[in-house]
Amino acid sequence: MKKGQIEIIGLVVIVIMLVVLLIVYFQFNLGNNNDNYLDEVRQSSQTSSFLGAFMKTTNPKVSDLLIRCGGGSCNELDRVVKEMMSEIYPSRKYSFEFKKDDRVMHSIKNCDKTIPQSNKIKENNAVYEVFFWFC
Amino acid sequence: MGVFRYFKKGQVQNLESIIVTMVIVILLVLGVYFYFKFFAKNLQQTGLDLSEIKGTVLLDRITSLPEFTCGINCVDASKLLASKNVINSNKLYYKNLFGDKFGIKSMIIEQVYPKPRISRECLSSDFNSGDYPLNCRSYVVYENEVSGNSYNISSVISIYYPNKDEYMLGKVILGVYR
Repeated sequence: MKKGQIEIIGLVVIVIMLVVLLIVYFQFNLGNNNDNYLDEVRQSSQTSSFLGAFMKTTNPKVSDLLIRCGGGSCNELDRVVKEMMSEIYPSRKYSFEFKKDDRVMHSIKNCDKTIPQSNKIKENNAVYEVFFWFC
Repeated sequence: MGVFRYFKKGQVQNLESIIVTMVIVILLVLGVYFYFKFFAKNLQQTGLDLSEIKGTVLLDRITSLPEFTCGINCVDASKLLASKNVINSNKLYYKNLFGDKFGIKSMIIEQVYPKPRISRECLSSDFNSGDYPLNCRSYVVYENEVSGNSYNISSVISIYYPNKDEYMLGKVILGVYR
């Protein structure tokens, strides 16, 4: 091989090493998708524990508020959910959807569905279902 | 060639080889440094994530203990009031269970909604008061005296008040050792 060719090979080796270095750097800096998985687990656990406790609450009686909302008066339900959320997760946005016999009766939509959790109750031969999710 | 005209051709070639070797070594060292730096960072993050998952599982396990539970995602306030005495009179057993087995530093349950009028710890003597449960806020169920690096994890829970047959919204806060 001529001297010039050997020098070009040396240059190519250095360039390859630089490229590998950049790939390693960007792979670790940008390609970190594990957080999304953990965020989903965190969000799903928070949503389900909130919804479970919310549906059980009897002061004020949430099942009564849902039945009233099914009848068209949802202000009290909205107020209670808003007050609860401001006490527990003050800075978080949420969305809420309420169905009676599979028909959407009322909703508070601050964002599209992310990881929704739902809970049902059956009262007076009607099924009331609440969907809740964090934004 | 500036400075290089004072050198002989062989010396210039040697100098060139030394410079190329130095550049390659610097690049290799930088590569290894970045690799281990990010590897260590990832490892640390994985450790934090795992301890958070462990904390979430612990929240479920502890609130399901017969000493506190009244069903799924529910704790009984009368049991919480009584548990402090039970834990104090069986210190060794609970230190072993909470501290050594679960790795818990503290466990506090707070009444959140409706918001209590007074923000203080609930005591057994409050149970018969007419204002109860709105005259106190928190139940300090367990506190480990052993100091150590810990973090808090919390979850929403339903608190059952058998004297009024009512469920209210609460929060369980666990201090977990790292």
